[in-house]
Parts: sequence; structure tokens; C-alpha cells
Amino acid sequence: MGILTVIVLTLMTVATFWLLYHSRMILPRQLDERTLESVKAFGIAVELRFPSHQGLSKRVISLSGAVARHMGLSAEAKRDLELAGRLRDIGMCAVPYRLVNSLSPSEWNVADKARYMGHADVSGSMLEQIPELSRLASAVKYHHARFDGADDPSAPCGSKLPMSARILKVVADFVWYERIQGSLIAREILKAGRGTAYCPQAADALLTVLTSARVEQREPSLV
Amino acid sequence: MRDQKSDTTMKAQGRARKRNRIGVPLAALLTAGIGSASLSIVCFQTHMTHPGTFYILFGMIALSQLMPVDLTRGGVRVVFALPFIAALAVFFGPAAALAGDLAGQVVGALLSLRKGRDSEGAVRVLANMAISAISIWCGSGLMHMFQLGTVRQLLWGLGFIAGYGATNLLLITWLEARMNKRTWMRAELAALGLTVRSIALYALLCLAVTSLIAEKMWYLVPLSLIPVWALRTSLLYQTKLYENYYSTIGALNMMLQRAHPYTHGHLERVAETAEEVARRLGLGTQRARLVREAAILHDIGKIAVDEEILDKPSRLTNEELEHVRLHSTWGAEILSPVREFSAIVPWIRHHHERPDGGGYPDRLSNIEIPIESKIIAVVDAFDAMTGSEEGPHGKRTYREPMTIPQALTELDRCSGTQFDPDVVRAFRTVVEAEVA
Repeated sequence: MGILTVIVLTLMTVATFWLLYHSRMILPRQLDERTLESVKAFGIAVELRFPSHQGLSKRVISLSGAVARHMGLSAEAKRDLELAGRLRDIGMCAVPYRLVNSLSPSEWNVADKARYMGHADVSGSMLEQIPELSRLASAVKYHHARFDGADDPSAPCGSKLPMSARILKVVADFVWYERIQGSLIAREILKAGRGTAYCPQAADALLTVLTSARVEQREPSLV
Repeated sequence: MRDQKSDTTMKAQGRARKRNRIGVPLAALLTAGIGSASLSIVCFQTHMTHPGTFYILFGMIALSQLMPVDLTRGGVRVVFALPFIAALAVFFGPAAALAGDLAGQVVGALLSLRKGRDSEGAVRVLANMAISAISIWCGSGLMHMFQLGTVRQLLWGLGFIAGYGATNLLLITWLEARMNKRTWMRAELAALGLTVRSIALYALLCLAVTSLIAEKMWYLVPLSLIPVWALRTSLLYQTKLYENYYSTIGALNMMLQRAHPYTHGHLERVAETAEEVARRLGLGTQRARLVREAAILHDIGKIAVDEEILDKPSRLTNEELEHVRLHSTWGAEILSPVREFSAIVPWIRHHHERPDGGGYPDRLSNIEIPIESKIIAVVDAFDAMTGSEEGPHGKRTYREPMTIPQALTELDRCSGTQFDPDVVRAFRTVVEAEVA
């Protein structure tokens, strides 16, 4: 075997190992990081538009991660749940500025409430147009849908709702009530809505993790 | 609501326009392809020394068709068959390489058809076959020059790859640019940007396959599927990263348009002109492309601005003006988590700074303002002055829109104080060229 052949085959072997490492370890992590960076940018845009929403996402993501861990969801499902949690409100950019910043929810009429709740639909349809994130569209679109389907008979309900949408509904509502009415009342609302507004499995998981010290623990794969 | 019939007519017209756009180049490609194929068969010798190796290489080409990577949504598809086609050319002659490549194309087309991936299957397959035939002719020509010299047989394949690869890349990107109405240069850069390192690895792989066959270790050739698969995975991720970047720009733009629907059209116009002005000012292609992307995103901070103030048809109060002026800071804040935007974040933050130091948010002096921000400032102001940007009340501002000459005169008047004189001059050249 000629020296040139030996050099070529050695180089190719080294290059193959490097390629395997690069394509299986480095690039997937890079893609995850870039996706998360983009999603953070969307979140900042919504929080700048509606300062009263600042911090909500962080709490929703932390709690939904804990619920997902408690329910034993796969790593991929947990990752998608975090992304859906961050993206769920990108449709808020279509909600009128003054509706949220100048009026309190108690001052809203039926049309105002419908305009506000329409953000979930807008978020879903925006994600449908982004091929890399379109898989999250239904979780985001139905993140305000009631478990029993009482609010919208045309929307899926019960087990037909994606699990991530059910978790987000439970967690996002809890975080909202926790902010405006306090933790105790928020827990009571959660218990009262178990099986009607909220998926029992997700509600139970949230009630359990709320007492756990691991709630604030971040998913290591997503750091 | 637009009626279905007019929609159908518009789609039919669109198809007809697309056919016209690619009809002539496709005919030229097919003629050149048939000519090149004939020349490859007639001019070069075919030698069937080891049929077993021949069939293995054919099999490898067919297998590589199972692992395509789509570089763009428009349809540039990469298949990692070149090392095996090159080996066929080196050991069995260009006619064998042609047969292997065309057979691979047929397998690829059948697989695409089964997966329903390609709506323009027949046209694309014919075009690809023609491009392959031309590329093989060019590759074989270069390889023949190596053969005439004292270059070792091991390196003949490199000559083939260089000729084949360059021709293939040029023709594929040219055809893609024609089909998707993009500039050839942009399509080529998009493809090249993703494949420079891959080309080097590809050349090494080609050398390895040629070495194995030359050393009579043809039975080890199937092992080359491992680096091919890794190369494919790597390219797949790079494509995803590339797509993620543009999806982020698209999604942010979508958010802005949901908050302020009138921005649609304005940003595209500003982006296109800003890129052209950047080129005129001597910025490199890559930098000019970044200026285009910054121009698309320059008003992203307006997501956080009250739309009733932006759409107000009368003069803004001081308080309202202060609120609107925060948009450049907010824009930079929104984009700051994305590492790939790190270059454009300062351009967006400073696109309302003035050379006389009277701009916002940081009241920078002329020398401190990035040239890219100055470009965006001029193009944005011109678009606003000419009133092309329409709001819910018919026009964006309370002023009457200016004519192009009036707006250019206004830019000249503010040159040196509000706008950079060099940028205004370059902008004037671009606008005058467009009007002419």
C-alpha cells in the first residue's frame, strides 16, 4: 500500500470520527440553543408590549417543566413543552395595546375578552407558518381550551387535547390567578376546575409539584 | 373576498409565467446535456476491467439517493453520490460515470415520487440529468488533463470532482435562481455557505474511495457510507440552523405585522434599497446581506409601541414622541438574545442617531454611528417621506406624501445634520438608477 493511500485512509478515518462527533453531539446542541434564543426574543417582544406579563412566562416554564417531570414525559416532550410555553403568547402582539395596558380584565366586555383570548389562535396560526416550529402549533393554539370543551364545542376536548396544551392550561391559569389573587385562592380554583376546566392528571401533578422543592429546578438538557 | 375563479386564473397565469421563465433555459440545458453525454461516450474510452467493483459503485450511487438533503425550500437537493461517480469515471471511463449518475437520478426521482416530495418532478429530473451530463463532460475534461500529465491515478478523481462539482454548482444554482426569481449570486452564496467545508471532506472521501479501489480493496468501499451518512447529518443540521435564522426573522416580522399591519411592504422596500445602497458604498456581499436583514428588522421594537399612537393622523405630543422613540432601544433588546443577530443589534439601536449628535437613543456623534445605521436611516426616512407606507387612515403621517424629487431634495437639505452625506449621495444614485 502506497504512502499516499495510507495518508488518505488515515485522514478519512479521523475525519469520519470527527464528523460523527460533530453531527451527533455539537450540531444538535447548537440547533437547540439557537431555537431557544429565537424563542426568547419572541418572549421579550411580548413582555415589552405588555409589561404586566413580565415574569409570567418564566414561572409558567418552571412549573410546567416540574409537572412534565412529575408526569414522566419523555425528554423530547419536555423540550417541546418548554418551547410551547415560551411561544404560547406570541399571538399577543395582535391584542390591542390599550386593552391590556390601560384596562384591567374586570373592565373588559365580551368582545374585549374574545379579542384577548384570540391570541391563542393567532399564536397557533403563526407557528403553523414556521416549518421548524409548526409541530407546536396545536399545543399553543389550545393552551386556553377547557378540558371539557364547554367554551368551544368545535375545539378538541378531553384526551383529544394535546397533553402539552392541557399542562399549559393548568399551569398558565394557576400562575395568572396566583399573581392576581394569591397562591391559596389559585390552588382552590385549580381544585374546583379539576375535571371540568382542567385535565385531572395535569391538575393533580401541578398540585403535587407545588409542594415539591424541585419546582425551580431547571431541565439539565435545556440549560 | 376574492372569488375562486379569479384565484384559479391567477394560479394558471402564475404557472404560465413560471413555464416561460424556465422554458428557454431548460431547452438550452437539455440540448447541452444531450451534446455533453454524446461527447462523453464518443471522446473517452470505456474499460470494464472489474465488473464487481462496477456493480458495487452502482449500488453505492443508488444507496446515496436514499439520503438526500434539501438545501433550500426552493429545492436545491444534495445527494452524496459524487465520490462513487468519480470512481466510475477514473476506473471505468466517463461513459460509465454518466450511466451511474443517470441511473442514480432515476432512482432518486422514483423515491421522490413515492414520497410525494416533488410537484415539478419531470422538469426537475430532466434538468438534473442534463446538468449531470454537462458536469460529467467538464469533470472528464479536467480529469483527462490530469491523465495527460504525470499526475498519479489516485488524484485523477480530484480533477473529475473539481470539474464536475464547479459545473454542477453553477448550473444548479443558476436554474434554482431562475425558477425562484432570486439573483443567481444569492442562490449560489446560499448553497456555497453551507457546503464549503463539506466540499473539502467530499474531496477526501473521493480520494479514499479511489484509493480503496486502486489498492484492490473494493470490498471495503461500502464502509464509505458511514462518512457519507455523517456528512449528510451534518449538512442537514447546518441547513436547519440556516433555516432557523431566517424563520426567526420571518416570525419577528410576522409579530410586527400583527401589531402594526401597515408595516407590510415598507420593510421589504427599505430592505431591498438598503442592500443596494450598502453595495454602492463598497460594503462586501455578506455585509450588504446583513444590512438587508437589519433593515427588515429595524422597526421590530415597534411591537411594543401603542398602535394608536403610531396610527395617529395628527401631530404627536411630546409624551407620545418619547414613547415612539423607545422603539430603537426595544428593538435591540428584543434581538439581543439571538447570537446570530449580535452584529445587527447596534445598527438597529442606532438607526435614529444623527451625524450632528441630535439623534436618539444615545445622541452619538457622527464618527460613532455605524455606517449600516446611517444607511437604514436614509432609506427609512425616504420611504416615510414619499408616503409609500400606508396606515389605517390612508397614509402613515399627517403630512402629504412627497414626490421622489421632493424627498431627494429634503434628504440633500438634511445631509450632514440628520443624514450622512456619503450615504445620501449613494442613495440618490440608487434611486435615480431605479427611476431611470
